[in-house]
Amino acid sequence: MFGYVIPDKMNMYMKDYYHYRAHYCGLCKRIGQDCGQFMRLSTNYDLVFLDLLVHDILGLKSEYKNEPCILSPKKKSIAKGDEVTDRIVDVNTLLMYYKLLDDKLDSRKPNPVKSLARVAVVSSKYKKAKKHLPELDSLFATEYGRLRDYEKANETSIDKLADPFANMLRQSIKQLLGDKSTEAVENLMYFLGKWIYFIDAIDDLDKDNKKKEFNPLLVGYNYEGKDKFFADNFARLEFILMSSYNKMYECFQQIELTINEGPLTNIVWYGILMRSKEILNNKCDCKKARI
Amino acid sequence: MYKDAYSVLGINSDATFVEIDEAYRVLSMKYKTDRFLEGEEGTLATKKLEELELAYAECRELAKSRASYDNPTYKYDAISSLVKSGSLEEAQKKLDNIEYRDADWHYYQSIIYYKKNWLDDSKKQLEISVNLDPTNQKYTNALSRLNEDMAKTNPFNQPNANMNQSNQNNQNNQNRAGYAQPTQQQQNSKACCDTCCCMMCMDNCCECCGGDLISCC
Repeated sequence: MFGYVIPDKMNMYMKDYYHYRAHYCGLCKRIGQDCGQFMRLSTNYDLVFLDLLVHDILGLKSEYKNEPCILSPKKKSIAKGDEVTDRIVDVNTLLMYYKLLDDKLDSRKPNPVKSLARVAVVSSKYKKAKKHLPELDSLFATEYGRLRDYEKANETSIDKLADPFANMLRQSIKQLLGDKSTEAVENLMYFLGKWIYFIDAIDDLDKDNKKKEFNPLLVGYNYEGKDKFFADNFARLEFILMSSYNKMYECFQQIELTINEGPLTNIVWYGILMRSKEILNNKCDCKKARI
Repeated sequence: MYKDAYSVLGINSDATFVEIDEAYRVLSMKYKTDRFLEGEEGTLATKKLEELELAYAECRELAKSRASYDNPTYKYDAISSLVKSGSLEEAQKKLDNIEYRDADWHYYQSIIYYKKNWLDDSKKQLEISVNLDPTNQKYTNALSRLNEDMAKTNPFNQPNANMNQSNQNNQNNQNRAGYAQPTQQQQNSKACCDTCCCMMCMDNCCECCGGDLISCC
């Protein structure tokens, strides 16, 4: 589910790349401070996008420090983070917790003991995040419940199935931005949520078919391999990804940005398009992306 | 004939659209499976399927004329107003209460879906409208517009150079943070190769005429 929202590194200005990396590393460190070293594994590229967007709209300029990290002994520039970063980390914890809880409750998952163990580990961090963001916590619980109901009913409308996750992202940014939230930003996150849901469904076709897990694209379809699936459904897959991308593009054009405009523009204009192309060309090694 | 059509489907003469559709669905599934049986059973099932198709079309026509007699007022005005004012839930409830699902019904359903940002469902509903009434330009134009809007920056399209230029004139052509627009960016990625090829050709032509544009080549 996470890790699809990346910049197009090959077409990124170096200044934007280092800026982006400083925030990625900054988030990782901040998660370590707030939630413990183990939770640093939950750092993901999608979170960096959220961090850059929220800080820009709130007009908050980040401070930077030079530090090494466990993966890189050479010192590099890292964004220090602030209270807003802490709230973004809380959103990440909530998303992580509910995703793991959903895996545990999904009786089709083959290893309920493993899922239960993961939930238990995240549980104490979740309680902290819940205290800071009680309304979001309640919303996430409702939306995941709604998603589970749709999956149990073998719902075929991919828009309906994507709606809970998309709404979670929309409400998250609304909560983080407060009065400074606009319809354009909320819609951007809504379409981003839909795009993530769609691309995750396409990327997981083989895995879901093999493990008999729910996938909205496989309902009522006799799956015989990705190549045949793409041949039969290309027009629809192209439409669902590109329509979300175009809507994101439209919303993004209505948002005024300053400090983080460079990396954000690269991600929305190029990164999302690049990922869509890779998936539709059946050439995406999406889960293993390293920036 | 009327009696036969209803008895083929096994329903009453005042059946609603939902009842007609459900009866058709159940029987057609049975006959579509049975027609592959060997011998007389298969032949009989094929014949029954043909009868069923004719009876279904007839029952729906009769129900439609009953519906227009019962509901002479244009029901979509209220729905249109609700959509314009942003009351999508109310509009959807009113739409769900309309039993007869013609091309117009699907058209308004597609509008509601579009406003909810459910684009795949919106497109499907428009496609149904076009199938039900292919001569109505309103549905065909709406579907074309939806497809065009959702494919503006699609790299899988192969726009010709002229069309791309006019699109760019119509769109906001501004770069942002130093990045070219996505469609321009794909064009520009070939610019370097184009420039080198052009220079080499010019140098060759120049040398043929006795000159030398690029002395080291």
